[in-house]
Amino acid sequence: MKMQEKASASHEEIIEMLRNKSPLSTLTEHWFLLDEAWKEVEGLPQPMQFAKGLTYILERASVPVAEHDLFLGRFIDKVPDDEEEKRYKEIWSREEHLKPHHNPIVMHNHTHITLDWKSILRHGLSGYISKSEAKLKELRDAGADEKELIFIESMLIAYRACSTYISRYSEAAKEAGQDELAEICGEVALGAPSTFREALQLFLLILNIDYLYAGNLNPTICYGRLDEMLLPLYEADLAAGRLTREDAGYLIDDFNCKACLTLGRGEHQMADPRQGGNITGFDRNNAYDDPTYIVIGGYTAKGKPSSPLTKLFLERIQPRYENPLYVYRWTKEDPEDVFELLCDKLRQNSSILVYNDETVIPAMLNAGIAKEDALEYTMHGCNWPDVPSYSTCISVGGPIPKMIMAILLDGSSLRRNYGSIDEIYEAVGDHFRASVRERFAAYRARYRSDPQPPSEYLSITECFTEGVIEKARNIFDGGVRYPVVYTLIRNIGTAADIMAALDEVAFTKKICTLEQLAKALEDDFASAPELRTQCLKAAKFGTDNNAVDKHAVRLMNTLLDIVDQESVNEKGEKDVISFNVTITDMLHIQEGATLCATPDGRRCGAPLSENLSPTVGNVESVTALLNSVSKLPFDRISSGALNVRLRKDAVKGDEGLVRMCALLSAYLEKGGLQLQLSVADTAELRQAQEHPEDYKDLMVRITGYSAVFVDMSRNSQEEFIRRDELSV
Amino acid sequence: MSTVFNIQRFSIHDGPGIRTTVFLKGCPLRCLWCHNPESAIPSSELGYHANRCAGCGLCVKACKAGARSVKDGKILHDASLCKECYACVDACPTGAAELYGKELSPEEAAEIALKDKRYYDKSGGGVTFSGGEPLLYPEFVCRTSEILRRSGVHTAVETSLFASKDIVTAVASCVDLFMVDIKTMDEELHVKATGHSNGRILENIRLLSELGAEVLVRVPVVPGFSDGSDNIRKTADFLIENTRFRTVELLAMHKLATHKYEALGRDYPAKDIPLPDDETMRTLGNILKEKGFTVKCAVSES
Repeated sequence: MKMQEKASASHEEIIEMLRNKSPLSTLTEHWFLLDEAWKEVEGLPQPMQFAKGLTYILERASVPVAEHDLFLGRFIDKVPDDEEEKRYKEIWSREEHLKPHHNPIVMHNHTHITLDWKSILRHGLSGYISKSEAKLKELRDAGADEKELIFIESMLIAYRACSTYISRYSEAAKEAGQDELAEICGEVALGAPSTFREALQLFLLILNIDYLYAGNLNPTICYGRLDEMLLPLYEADLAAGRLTREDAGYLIDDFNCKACLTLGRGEHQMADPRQGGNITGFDRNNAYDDPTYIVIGGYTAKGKPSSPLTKLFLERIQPRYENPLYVYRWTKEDPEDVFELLCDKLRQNSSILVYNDETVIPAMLNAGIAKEDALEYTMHGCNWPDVPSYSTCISVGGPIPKMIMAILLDGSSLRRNYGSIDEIYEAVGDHFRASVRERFAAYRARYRSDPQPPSEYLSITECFTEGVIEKARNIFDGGVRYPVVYTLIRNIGTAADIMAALDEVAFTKKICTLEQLAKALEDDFASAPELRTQCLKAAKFGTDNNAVDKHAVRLMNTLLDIVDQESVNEKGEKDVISFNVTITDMLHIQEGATLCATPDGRRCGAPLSENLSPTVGNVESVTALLNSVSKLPFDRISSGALNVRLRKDAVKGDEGLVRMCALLSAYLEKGGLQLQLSVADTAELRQAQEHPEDYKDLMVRITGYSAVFVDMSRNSQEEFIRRDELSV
Repeated sequence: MSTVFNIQRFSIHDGPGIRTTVFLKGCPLRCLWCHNPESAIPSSELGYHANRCAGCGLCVKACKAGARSVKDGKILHDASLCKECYACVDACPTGAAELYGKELSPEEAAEIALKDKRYYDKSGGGVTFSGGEPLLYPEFVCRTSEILRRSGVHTAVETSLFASKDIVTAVASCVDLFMVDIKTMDEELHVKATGHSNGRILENIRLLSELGAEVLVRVPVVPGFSDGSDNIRKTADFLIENTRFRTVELLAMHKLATHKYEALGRDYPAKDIPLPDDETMRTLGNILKEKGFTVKCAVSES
């Protein structure tokens, strides 16, 4: 088979998978191997449990080869038979399964990270093996702590296991008569890749290893900046006549196919089966219901914002694929043809998240990331920021509406009779500062103490994170250059609405006193419906109205000023790295469910605004929405998501493409942070609910991942439909 | 000042590029298929959207004139008692009571429209005055357009051209584009469909050609009125003989405005008129093309 035929066969396989894979299918082999491995390694120190458990798995995991594979690396997922289902459920039912850390069944993997693909590319597994051997010798010579020796020795075992797994693929390919693939896998089982194809093959198998080992935490891995990293190999291949642009395209096609194939059917908003919900969903699919990110575009150390590979990767994005998620890093210097191609892909409803380099890089610098690392930023699912040699395990902040209500009400009565909106801002700030101070103190105790105690914990993530071998510490114990606090600035839309309504109703127009308002909130406006009308009529975020947008900006700056102030220690040195993020995932529903009525007229229990979006129902036009959002101080925010849903006719035809380009470039030039688009009409979504069998290809963007609309639970579907449909 | 009933941002059907459409209230014609019935009379008026109404009765409580009452969970409005204070609109929490029409100055309208200037610049868009009939407010249109054009914003009017020559001439000097309808060439049908003769309209199209104005001619395709081959041939011949305009946009009639008629408590005169099919649109388009016209079509890509 020629490359084109193989890529085409892979595509057919994906379409078949998207349409017909059973929601009941799962990675039985994965679960059973994890379970067996744990039994094998019981009683060992955790790093050794990990290394030997991984070895057990990688010596036994299936290494399937299909005739049309351009790359090897696929999982065996299937609908379990009765026996398997029984065993699968037994594993899931064990109490220890629910423990978040040191999980004995699925062990543990941090995941949610961009691995150090640059080093993987440069050194190959043999490089990691020699580096860890040398470190082990150095530690032994220095009479290091036993725990440090175990830590590094375990890493060494893990690298060898990875190499074994890739060698097994090479042998399997040879047996299947796929000599070229056998040779490629043979090369990268130890050595550094020397061609574009070898690099992608090695990356894919390392990612598979991560996914195979990952259990209760989602293996949401980012491949990093593939266009930037692979450019030298690509150009060398072209120059040597080993590869054509067209064939490189087919390779990318198959690489994308493999990422899409990895996902199971369903998405994690589905109900929890243990609580009587669907039989599909997060629990059943969590080993593989996770987006794989690929980052393209953006500034590089050489300054160039786009390469021939950026365009090639962009060209090969398949709108119907649920995975991978492409993160496109936009810069104001992007070539026009590349930008137009991006917009064309977006309007085809592709899984692309657009980020703005002009704001993210300054935000990274502001956080304390060195320029060379800030330029290399990536995102991993779902919309979390990432830089080389980074980790995080501390977070602070949360839903801003809850912070406001916490200072406003004491139980059901007014906490304090604030005299002005300024006093309310001050109180919100004080409330936030207290939690920031406490969390930053915990951060300092953990990351800024010297020396860090030896690590007693190791996962696959450590094996491929820059700095871990050198420091012989895991990513939470000082093994990385940038231990990061996530400062969560959530639900800004509803928060701004609350402040605007408070300002207008209680202070500017003096429609009621704060005490009257508090009473109305207590009984969900039952005793004061007229007051609720006034609250609802106050300006709302998303309408390009400065009366409320100024509150969104002020709220963010108030909180971010506190983060900046508290990041500086007593000596005046900035010693806390905070990534300020605005993502909510689907928590806006849960958080709203436990929040009383709010001064913006929102009823008790109603959802809050999601991500950077306004509260549902408040959007009048897409331009007003983009204008409102782009006023926010994004040069201080590392990541966030703006979900925009457009009707098909808004982006149809040549004029539609012009409109798409205009919308996106104007928004980003105005300082917008991010945009993820779903092109889906409400009528179409309703049809899909009625006739799911006809809409198996309908993809929608949720928060930092895509989902097949008809695979979502009814509640999630309704939530998505409620999001404003923008057009005319 | 002018009565504006809507300023719609990100308009994509009212001229080139991304536009803001300023809808002005009041129209001398009464087209049977009008999809902006709230634009017909120049003064403000009240609409009631039953589908948005929570039946809370706050509007009844707010109405001091006793014009509103609740019956079987439904809000009733007695227009004869209404003092047009619109307290009901202020009291309504859901937008079920809506006020159509608000006095706006050219400066205020321009300020809103300029918020999207960047989108116009990038998409070749701008601002469109529509209605209703914008030529009922020539001073407002010209003054607003002047402010916008000073900022480099392209402006257009969507008009029936049922206006005096002087007004057409004046507006032609202050906007960049006219979008005009030829609803039907048949005089009798035109009177039946709109309440007025098409004579003045056709004269004004001729005038615009003489004045050198940029014009996009549109034909609303309405079964029984303008969907005949003969009518489209006559339209083409008229344009060839009298004007330099060689682009025609065919607009398929739609019934998206049904809910507006309900909100206003009026009958929808076109409710029994069927929608034109794609085949008709294609046929009409082909006739125009054969006569040398560039054809734009809102439904089928003929």
